[in-house]
Amino acid sequence: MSDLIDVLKALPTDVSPGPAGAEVVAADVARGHRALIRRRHRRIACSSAVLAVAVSVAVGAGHLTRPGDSAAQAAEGSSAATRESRVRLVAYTGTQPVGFKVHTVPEGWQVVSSDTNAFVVAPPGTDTPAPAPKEDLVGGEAVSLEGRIAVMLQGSSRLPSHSPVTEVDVNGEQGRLGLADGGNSKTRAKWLIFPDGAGHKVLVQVPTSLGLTDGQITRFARGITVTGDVRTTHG
Amino acid sequence: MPVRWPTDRDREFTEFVSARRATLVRVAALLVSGDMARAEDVVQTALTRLYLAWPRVRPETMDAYARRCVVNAATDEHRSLFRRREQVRAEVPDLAADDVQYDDKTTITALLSTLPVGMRAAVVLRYVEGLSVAETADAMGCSEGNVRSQSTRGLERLRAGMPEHARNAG
Repeated sequence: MSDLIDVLKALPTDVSPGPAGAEVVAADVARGHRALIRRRHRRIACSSAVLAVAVSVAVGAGHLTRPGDSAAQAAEGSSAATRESRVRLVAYTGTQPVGFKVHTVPEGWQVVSSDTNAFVVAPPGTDTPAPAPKEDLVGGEAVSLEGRIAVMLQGSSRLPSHSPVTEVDVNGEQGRLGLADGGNSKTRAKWLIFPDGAGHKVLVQVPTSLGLTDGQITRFARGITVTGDVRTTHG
Repeated sequence: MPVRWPTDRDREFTEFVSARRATLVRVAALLVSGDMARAEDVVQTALTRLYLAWPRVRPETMDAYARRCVVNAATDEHRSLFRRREQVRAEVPDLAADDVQYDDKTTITALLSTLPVGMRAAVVLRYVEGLSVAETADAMGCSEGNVRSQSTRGLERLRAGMPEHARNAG
């Protein structure tokens, strides 16, 4: 009579499910995609929340300082510098993202990460992933969205119902530009959602801290083309 | 930072799942008392976690990571089922045990299901899957000493369920 351990060793041949078919494996991949998109959307919301807190703190600090204080003067100087530093859109000549083509970017900016559902454009000097927790997984790498422009398929994202919406023309299609609050009433980022005329709905997220005007955001969006490599997920 | 092409991830993941899925389902089935439907749920959960972590997992540790995902998902599933099914009774109900046949995989699987989930995982990974103590500890997220203790006690309990079983191995 065989020992118990021998019986246990024989179990793999007794309990042996058949090899996974292509459809089963494809379903596993699809589930992974959906989970990735859900996580990305959650992290975009979190990233926006961080921006909102930063704006709130800045506003609060402004209210707590008196004109003439050194801190107030420094803040005023910084604000003035921000207003004066106008973003200029130029033709993009760097590596194109997966699933999209981008024709126009703020001067000096580049695509730092992309996958078949999204890409991120970042300013010079910020081409390394930011540490957790302010990160998003795009293309399998941790990439901060703070201070960066993110472009993705709309998926399940929607502008808040209370957000004022401006209708803009994006290559003959009607886009909707509004303020995304990600669950609270504070403004954090501008979202431009537009159809591309080929069945895709694209979402452009631009942090308000970047200071891009609605016109610039629209011009940026007009330079985005969804390619055949894009993969729509329903997460 | 280089742009990562997701098609690489999908291709690698597809190759890995095609090659390893059946083994993961088998391990999951033994961890969840032979219920293939529950095993499938466990493997789906584990593979989703693996997909999310794919860029961070080194190829040489992919098997170990996948096993860990399966063990964790099976443990989570067991706990949620236990919470749903837990009943308070004044007395422990007596259950009649069927006569066992040692070469009957159904009987062995049923006996495995009587073990606590950690003990069951130690026995399955050590003696069914043939992992070393260190590999089992890695998959279970516990110490090697704990694996030795759990697997030894698990074997003792299985043998206790087979009174006519003659132990002839060390």
